[in-house]
Amino acid sequence: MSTDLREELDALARTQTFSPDPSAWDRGRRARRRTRVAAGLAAVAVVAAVAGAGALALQPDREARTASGEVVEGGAIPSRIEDIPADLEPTPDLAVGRGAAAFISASQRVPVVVTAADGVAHRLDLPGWSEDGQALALSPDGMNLAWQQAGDGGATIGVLELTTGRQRSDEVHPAGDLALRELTWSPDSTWLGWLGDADGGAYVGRLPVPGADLDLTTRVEGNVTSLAIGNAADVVLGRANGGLYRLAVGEPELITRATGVGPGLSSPDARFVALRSGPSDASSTLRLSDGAVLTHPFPDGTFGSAVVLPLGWLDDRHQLLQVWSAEDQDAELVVTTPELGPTSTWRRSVGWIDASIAGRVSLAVDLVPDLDGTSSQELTHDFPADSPPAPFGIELSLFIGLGVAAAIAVLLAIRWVWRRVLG
Amino acid sequence: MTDRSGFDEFVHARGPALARTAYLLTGDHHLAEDLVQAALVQAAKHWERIETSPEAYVRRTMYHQNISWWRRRKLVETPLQSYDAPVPATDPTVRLTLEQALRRLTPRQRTVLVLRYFEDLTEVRTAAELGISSGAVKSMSRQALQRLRVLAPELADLVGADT
Repeated sequence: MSTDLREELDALARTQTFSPDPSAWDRGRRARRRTRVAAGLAAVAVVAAVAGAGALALQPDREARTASGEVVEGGAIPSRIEDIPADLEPTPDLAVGRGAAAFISASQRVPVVVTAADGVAHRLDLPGWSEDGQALALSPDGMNLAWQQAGDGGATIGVLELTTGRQRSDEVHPAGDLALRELTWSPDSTWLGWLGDADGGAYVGRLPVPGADLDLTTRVEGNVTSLAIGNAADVVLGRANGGLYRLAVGEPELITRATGVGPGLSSPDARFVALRSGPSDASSTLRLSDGAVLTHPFPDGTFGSAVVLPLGWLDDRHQLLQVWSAEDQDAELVVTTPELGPTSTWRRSVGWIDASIAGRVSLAVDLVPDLDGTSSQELTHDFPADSPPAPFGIELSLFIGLGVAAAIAVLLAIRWVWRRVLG
Repeated sequence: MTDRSGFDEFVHARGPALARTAYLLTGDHHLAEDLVQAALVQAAKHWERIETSPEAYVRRTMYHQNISWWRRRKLVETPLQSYDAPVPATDPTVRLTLEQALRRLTPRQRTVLVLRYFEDLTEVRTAAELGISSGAVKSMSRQALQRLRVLAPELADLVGADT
């Protein structure tokens, strides 16, 4: 069968003539050149894509980097402030640069400054720092850090210039033990107010920064809970049994008998004092002209009841508050005005403070940009995570991208040589 | 010998044989010409790689190209009616009957038939050329012969009796 079939197929096939196309060779070679060009372009595209994807994917905290806008001039406050890891070594040089935030670590009882330029937390080995220390305050301009220095009986306040590392110490209560409970700055960062207990009473003091030889310590009878100091060194203090007082020669002058609130921070124009308050549904501000306590209720659907701690004034109207609704939850940074009105502001989620250090943080509020009236303005900054290692001085992501590109180039070269050698 | 002259020499020497196979594969003289030319263009494109055995490359290209073309044509052409109806025995010669019957086979069946009974390849070689299993070659070969018997009963002597 197959022989016959093959013969018939052969006879059938012989009806086909063949006339060679002289252009076949040229067409084939053109196609070859096109393929090579396309392959080259594809290789370049692949290399570029891989390198680009590598660079993008390996950028530290890519989402965070793209989430916020420009860093304000001179640095910014990190959008999230967290306690340091246990293994963080102390920074040897105290001149870490302008600070954005400072706090006492909850886990290690050590002072920490977060620098404004990069959002990096530095554990500081401050001279005279005691694990019992409760007082640490960063000036609103982020240039100075104040803390209590442990001494041999007297109370000493240390002030560190963060950009230069220069330090000064002021013995504010030479006689007897005095436990400093609080340090607070005036809005223009020129005055430091302090509060301590000794001899059954409270001592309130004012320290000019940069220093001047002024004796502005005042003994106040009774349990003073907190104080606020203005640009003119005017002090408002609160007592545990209620009432807000203006520090004066002799006995403090009563401003209001309001209870449940305490002085927080004075406004730059000295018209208001932002108040700290226990669990409530509003933030409170003392108006010094008439002693009225103004309230700004939390908007519906935000906080039910929360503890408020003022962290600074952005200008004469806007205050930055830490609002803490529950002890086990992170505290939120909120920008608001003293009271509700036609031009009032209330903006939450400006930033967050880790629950473990909420209440211990002071901020350089001067780093918050001037408000432009939009709700999308970034008031804090999402700093990228720690930078990855840089092999040969090249950023890691770029290094990996270049490595992949080089590997692809080598493979293409080997393929080309293989084809040339083996045909 | 330059690449170009080697290619020209190959085309001159083997072109007619390739064209004959192409005709059996396609069943159409014009398509056969196109199939050979397309395979030769591919050969020119890869000449440095295949110049030691260009014919095997060109033939394999034709086999696969023909099936690929058929798939594309199948999408746009209307299927034949009464596909397995016997070819009217109007043509007096066996050859023309065979030619018409071959056109009614599928390209894969026709390709297997050409490789097995025109190129005299074994089942294993045919399977290797087409990139399919020997079993598939055997099966397609049997189906092709059966259909030839159905399409052209007068070719029974040529393709053997039904088993």
